[in-house]
Amino acid sequence: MNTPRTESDVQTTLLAKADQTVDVDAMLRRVQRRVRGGRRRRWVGGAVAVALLTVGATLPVLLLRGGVSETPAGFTRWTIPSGTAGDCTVTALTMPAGSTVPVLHLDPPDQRYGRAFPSMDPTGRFVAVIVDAMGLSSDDKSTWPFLVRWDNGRPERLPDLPEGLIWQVGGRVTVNEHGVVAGTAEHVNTYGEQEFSALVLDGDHWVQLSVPDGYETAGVGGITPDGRLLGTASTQPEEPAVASSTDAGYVVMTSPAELLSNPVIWSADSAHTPQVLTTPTWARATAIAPDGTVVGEAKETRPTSMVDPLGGYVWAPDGTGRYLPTLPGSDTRVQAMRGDWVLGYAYDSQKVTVLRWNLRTGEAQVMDVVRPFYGINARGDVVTMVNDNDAVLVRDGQVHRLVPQDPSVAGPHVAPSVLSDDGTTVVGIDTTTADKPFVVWHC
Amino acid sequence: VTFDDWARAKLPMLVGFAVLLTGDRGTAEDVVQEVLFRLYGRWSQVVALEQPEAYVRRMVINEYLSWRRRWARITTHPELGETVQSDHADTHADREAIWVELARLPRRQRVVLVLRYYEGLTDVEIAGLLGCPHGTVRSLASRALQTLRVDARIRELMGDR
Repeated sequence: MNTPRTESDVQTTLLAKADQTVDVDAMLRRVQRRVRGGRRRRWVGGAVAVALLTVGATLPVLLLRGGVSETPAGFTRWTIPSGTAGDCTVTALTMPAGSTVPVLHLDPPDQRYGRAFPSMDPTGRFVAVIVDAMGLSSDDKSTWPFLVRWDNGRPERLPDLPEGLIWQVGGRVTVNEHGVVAGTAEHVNTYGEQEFSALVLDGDHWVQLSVPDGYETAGVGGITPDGRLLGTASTQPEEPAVASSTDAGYVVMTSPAELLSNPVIWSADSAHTPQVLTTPTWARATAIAPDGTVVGEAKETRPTSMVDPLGGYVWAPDGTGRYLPTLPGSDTRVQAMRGDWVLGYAYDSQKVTVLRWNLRTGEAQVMDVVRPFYGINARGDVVTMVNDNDAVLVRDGQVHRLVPQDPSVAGPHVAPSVLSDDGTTVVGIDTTTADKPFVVWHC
Repeated sequence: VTFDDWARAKLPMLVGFAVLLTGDRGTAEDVVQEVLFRLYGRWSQVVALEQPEAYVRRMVINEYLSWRRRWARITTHPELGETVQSDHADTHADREAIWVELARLPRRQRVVLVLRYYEGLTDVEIAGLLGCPHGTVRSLASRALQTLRVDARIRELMGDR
């Protein structure tokens, strides 16, 4: 007859297993190699090759060392103006009744705030966010992430995903002027591999967008006012082009090697027919404009090739494209587009340079800011951090402070993410009041 | 304290802690390596904290939860072999059985058990660390212990947490 187990048995097991002999030198060498190179490749099961290209933790530090020393040829320089105007007032977005309030962290010095990245349509009416209430998940579906949409501040918890799907970790949704929401979910295919699915809300249920022939998985990253959806289709699990919510100042992205990856636009009708932008060879999409212009990143060779850098790329509505000007020898990321303005940054192992391009005039700017950011609108207004703690809106040459709910709380607590096209509404995170982390600033 | 000196002193502890979370030595090393990489860039700020070790452990937990979510479905857990039975008369065998069953627990349940029985935290402290209600921690622990077939009457002898 078996003796019953006790808590002591569990404790003994854990204590025994925690006793590990570690090759300290070898591990530190690997860390140092990553610090120097900023790159690594991880092989999973010998079958799925995933290169983790990490711009990484050193980014804010490098930028804070003084930013860009000189303006590169072909670029103009943008600096935060000295003129100040009135502060923006903050309003908390209430959670739907009965929903768990997420505990979000914006802790110094790590700056990982929860797992939430609010999105907003260009008019400022709709806000949507994936709420990962516990910051973690389990097989208990009641704790899985859920999606909330606010309509002029009125919250609504959107329907649960179909069986077998879970919102992407740290994922970002997209929402248009009519409140149509789309996002990326994770699921497991029949081989036990993780894949992504692009979904759009149609009334009271989610529609899974079809993956184009020849591809295996797809994520969604943008939506037009008339409902066309932009995403990236690929042949292996891949993070969609939108950056992770943990990227308060750095970006982690995965780039499957030797694999197909191309932007895809799904039609606005109920068929959601996919159209793939097949050139350049390897590309992924970040944002789509109302006229169908797409921006993202591209390479002429396979994704892990060092022959050519990753470049910022713009596809015209007719499918033709061109690379955006960037710094020699640097890879380029594109983060957002609104109107004629595109926001991104160039990086190499030594430094990160925030860039802004105007698609209409061709102007390319180096931006003197402390770290990459996402908030830009059609007027060219930006929301950014002026230091680790303080966020501002820069509009019409004037600086407006984004004041937190409780200014007496010290430390980094605000993270603005998106602003409206008229420059009067900013959405983001403010952790100074624990039970009201999602906020809107009116400026 | 330099990053190198600190890391050398704490690496075995961090890897051990990560092994308990991940159930797998290779994944644990990957998790710790990722944490150290991020830690390196902000070391001067972390070392100035009152409890840098606690902060780094929290980074490990966050990384594990993120990592596991990303990779759990393609990671093979150890299987309970025919020769490993839940026979308490054989302490080693039962320890291995518990270890295998721990690896099969949902992630949050596993984190709660590690924090409770290895770190020695109270449920209130765990709730604060994970950002969830006290009752949720108790519920997670209760379900995990039921899965592990820990006798409830004996569990009560450990005191009210």
